[in-house]
Amino acid sequence: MGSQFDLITPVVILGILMLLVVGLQQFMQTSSAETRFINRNQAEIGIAMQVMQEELKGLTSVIAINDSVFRYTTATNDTVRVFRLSARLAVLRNGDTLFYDVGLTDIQFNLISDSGEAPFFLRLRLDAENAATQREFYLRNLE
Amino acid sequence: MSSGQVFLALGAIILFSFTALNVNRTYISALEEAILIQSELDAVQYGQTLSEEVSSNRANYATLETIYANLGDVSNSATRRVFVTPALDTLYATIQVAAEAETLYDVMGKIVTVTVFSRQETGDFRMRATYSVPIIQPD
Repeated sequence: MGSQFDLITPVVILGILMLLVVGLQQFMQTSSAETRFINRNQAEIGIAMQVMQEELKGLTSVIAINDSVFRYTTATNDTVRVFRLSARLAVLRNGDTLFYDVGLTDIQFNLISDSGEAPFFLRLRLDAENAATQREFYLRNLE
Repeated sequence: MSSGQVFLALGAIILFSFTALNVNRTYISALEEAILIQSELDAVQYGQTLSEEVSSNRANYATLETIYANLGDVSNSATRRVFVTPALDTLYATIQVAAEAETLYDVMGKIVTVTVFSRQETGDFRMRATYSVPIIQPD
């Protein structure tokens, strides 16, 4: 009985150890994938803000704004509509649509003005699965 | 249990403890990194928001110092701006207006410096982003 126990103990220990090592490896892989996903989300949401900064430079008047859609005209008389289409930031300009696949889960627009007059700001909030950010843009040409 | 088996069991436990600690450390470090990047992203966005606000005050060139008076000391709650980010992190900012001087564009103006800080666990403030916004003297 004693010798049987002695024989089986190292095998059991080795088995448990192997199970633990495989489990840890699995956990590490999941964690690493999650981290990469979070980092990508954060980078993409930053890119989306830069895209909006460029897009808003030419804004001269606001046509319509609600929680998730922003329509405006530019100095070159383009009509632009910005909205979220599934996980993408969509910028529709005179019928042409540019899609930025930035993993959005939500987009919110708010037009802000202290006095109801210029200066006007656009508060933009972007949410992704693992990141969220908010910024206000000064709408220089909006009076 | 023979002494060989005892050593084997001890070795296994030590090896596992070492591996588990390292995995834990790596996981925490990755999580910290993700939080840090989110914090950097928020600090940059908040700094840009404040820069946009400063830019919107070009019409108030003469009174910039008054508008942003007493916003130069981050350690004092009365002399700083506070913003809670979408990730529920709290950021602090100071805004300082320099005296009128020749700006980057070789014209007279005022440089407004926006600095964003976060607060560390020790209570110290850590600078996260800084922006220099030149406000050109109106014609």
